[in-house]
Amino acid sequence: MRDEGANPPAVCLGFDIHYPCYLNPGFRPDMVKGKRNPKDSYFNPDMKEDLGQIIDRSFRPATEILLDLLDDGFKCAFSISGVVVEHLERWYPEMLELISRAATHRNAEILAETYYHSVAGQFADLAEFTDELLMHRDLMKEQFATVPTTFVHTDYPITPATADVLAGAGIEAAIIEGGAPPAPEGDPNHTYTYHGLPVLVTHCDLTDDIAVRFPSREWDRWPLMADRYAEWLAVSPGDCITLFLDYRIFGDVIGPETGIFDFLRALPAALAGEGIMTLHPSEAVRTIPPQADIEETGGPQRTILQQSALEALEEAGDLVTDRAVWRCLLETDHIRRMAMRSPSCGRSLHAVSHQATYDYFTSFMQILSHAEERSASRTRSPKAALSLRCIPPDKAFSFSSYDRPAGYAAHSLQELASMLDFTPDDVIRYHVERDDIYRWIDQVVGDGKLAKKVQGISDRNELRSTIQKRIDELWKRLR
Amino acid sequence: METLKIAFFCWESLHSPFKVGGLAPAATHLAEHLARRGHEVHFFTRGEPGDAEVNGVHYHYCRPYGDNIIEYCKTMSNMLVDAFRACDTPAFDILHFHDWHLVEALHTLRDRNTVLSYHSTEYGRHGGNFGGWWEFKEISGKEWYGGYIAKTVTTVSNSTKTEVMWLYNVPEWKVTVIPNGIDPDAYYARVDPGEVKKRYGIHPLAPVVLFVGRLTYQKGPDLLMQAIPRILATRWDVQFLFAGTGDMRGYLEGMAHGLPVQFLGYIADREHVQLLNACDLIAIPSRNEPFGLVLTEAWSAERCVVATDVGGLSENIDNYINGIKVPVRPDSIAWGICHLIDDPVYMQSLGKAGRRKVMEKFRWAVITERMLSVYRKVLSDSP
Repeated sequence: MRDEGANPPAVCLGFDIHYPCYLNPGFRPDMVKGKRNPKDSYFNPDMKEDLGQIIDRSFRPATEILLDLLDDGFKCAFSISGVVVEHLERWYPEMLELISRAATHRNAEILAETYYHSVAGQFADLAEFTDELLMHRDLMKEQFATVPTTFVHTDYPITPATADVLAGAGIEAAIIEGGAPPAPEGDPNHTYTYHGLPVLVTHCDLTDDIAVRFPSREWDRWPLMADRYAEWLAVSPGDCITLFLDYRIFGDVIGPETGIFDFLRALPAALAGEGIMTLHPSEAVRTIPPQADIEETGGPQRTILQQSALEALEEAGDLVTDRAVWRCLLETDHIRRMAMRSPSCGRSLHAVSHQATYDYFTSFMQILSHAEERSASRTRSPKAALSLRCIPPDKAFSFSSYDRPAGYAAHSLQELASMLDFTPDDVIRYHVERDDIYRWIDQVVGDGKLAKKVQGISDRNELRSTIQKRIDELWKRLR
Repeated sequence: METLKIAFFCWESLHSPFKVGGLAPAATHLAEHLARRGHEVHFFTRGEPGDAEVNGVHYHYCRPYGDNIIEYCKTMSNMLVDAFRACDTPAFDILHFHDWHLVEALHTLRDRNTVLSYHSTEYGRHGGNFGGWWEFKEISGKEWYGGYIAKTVTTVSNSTKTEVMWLYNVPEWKVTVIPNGIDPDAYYARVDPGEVKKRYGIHPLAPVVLFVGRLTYQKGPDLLMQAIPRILATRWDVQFLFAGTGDMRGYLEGMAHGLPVQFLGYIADREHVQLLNACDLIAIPSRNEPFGLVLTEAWSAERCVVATDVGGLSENIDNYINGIKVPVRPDSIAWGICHLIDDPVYMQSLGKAGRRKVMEKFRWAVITERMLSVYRKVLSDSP
């Protein structure tokens, strides 16, 4: 609660307009036989129809409401991914026209993001991240005649390296997600700096009052009215509250029958009634002096599956020749679905079982592995590409000891080498005695030469260095 | 405030070769914090006979003998009373006794300003059961007598207070609850959890559940062990570490066959702190817990806990705010762990809330002040 008489905080409201490439969950390698473009089998074949429904339920009504509000002086920001612009341009140009009217409105700000809404910022090599950032900037310039200066960094944690890339690409500020590191604990309603880059931190609780709790009748605050919500904002401590919401929350995730559109329509008047100003993110960082510098706290929290998938994805950048397929697989939504819980913070609630994450991971790896196999013949050394490809979970190397599984599996030669770093001695002994490593490399990976070399080696370090040497050699042949 | 001359009677300390459980750190740290505030503290305990001064506290050691625990404690009492008399000029203001071991000394010195602290009871140490053997009866008798003759009594939690009031008819006005203190920074370390996990052959991103404590019936490691298959049924990458040793170890190792469980045995302080800071969740499945030092240690490291709803754990944990309390049953423990383990962000927020509670209520500075007010009350009541 804030002191009596103090000014209420300002509000930065942003919307994320995006439609991801969903995987085709029933994908099997034999579905691709005889088809020229495997992309249709990898990803949701009904993309056009689905997007059409989302437009009807959500994008169109929400944008029409926002256009009216913008005319009345309400300010908000839009982050529009490159993928969604492509889809709209191809299938629903009149919708793109409508979004364009809202985005180029004098009271709206266009935000920067990665073109494919991708996880490339988590890679060790940020070349793809930089590329996508520039691609998106060019697209915004071409479509909306604006060069965005505020980057939305909410689907994965900001790192010192991405902050440097952003600063180097002319980005002046970033919006990051609250609630999880490195966001400051407890007090998101200020501007901060992160490695020299000004940042705004989203307020997850207040965002999720809309994105998650709004329709739930079990909630003790149901039904949430705009004036009540504005009161909560008005009594929040701090200078500026950042709310960043998935656009599909309005109408699609939360249906119109719940009154979500009425809420949106009534919000600006309610905010004005409490004396709350709406600001553009870029205005907020310009006018509000930063409270503190955010310190680095530990690495990101990932699941084992997310880690395997991210490593495989980064390597696939050089193995999948069809860039479009690879970039669709970079979508943050895929990685998000490989955790049991993900912070919602403006997105729909994600809480699933371990089995569900594993199933998703399996489909994902099958598609990635298949794409790599198909691409191999088009690389400089097809054999090397095949040896380096990732292996889907059903054929992965599952570590185990005499009496129990070790709880992890290697999905590529590289992962095998990294896991040998910490695998317990009894596990290595077990696999060496059964000749498992030899057989897996020979029969599953298909690298007979390396298989013969590792046969009979029982020393952990020797095994590792032999495999690593081979991997380096294979990469050399490929590049 | 005037300075006090205080005598501590405790059969173990951190600065002697005998360490059994949580009593040694509790008594030693309290003595040191009192000394730091300018009081003169003498600590009468076991060890190589002689005197020593460590961290401002004067230690007086003796080497007792005896054929059984009762005999042993009796000789210890006599020796320590002699040592006490040797430095009783000027006279001690406060005589503070810890647990039953030195009740004979308390008897000899019963006319002085005495305080008896119950860190646990014999009934509690057997997981909330009565024993029929003679030592059980003898020790319970001493616990009753100590509570009867001491000028005032402290317990480490409300549940221990109720227990001594019920077991030994100690009147309520005589009992003050003073929890064990902790030095939170000694248990907090910035470590890379992945690196620590790797040392145990665990995937750096696998969730790890840690049990710290003696492997005895009271601490309930068997309950956690029975919960493991249920946890694995919904989440199969969780790993379990049991730190500590005890008479149930062989039995537990038999139960653990084929499960992702490692027994680490007794671990050194440094390793203990690293494990605390690297694990994802700490399970405290005790059947009886007077206070539960593991809890404040876990909180100091910002870890969240799943604990059974007993004793000090029940009092100190705020359910769903800084931990989860469950009934003393394997399926409930499994439920609690499954409820948290999928959600790292939630676990972190519970752990951080725990740390805040430690800073507010369990720091030694707070606890020492509360103990001093008990001493002052005894002094003001004495004729």
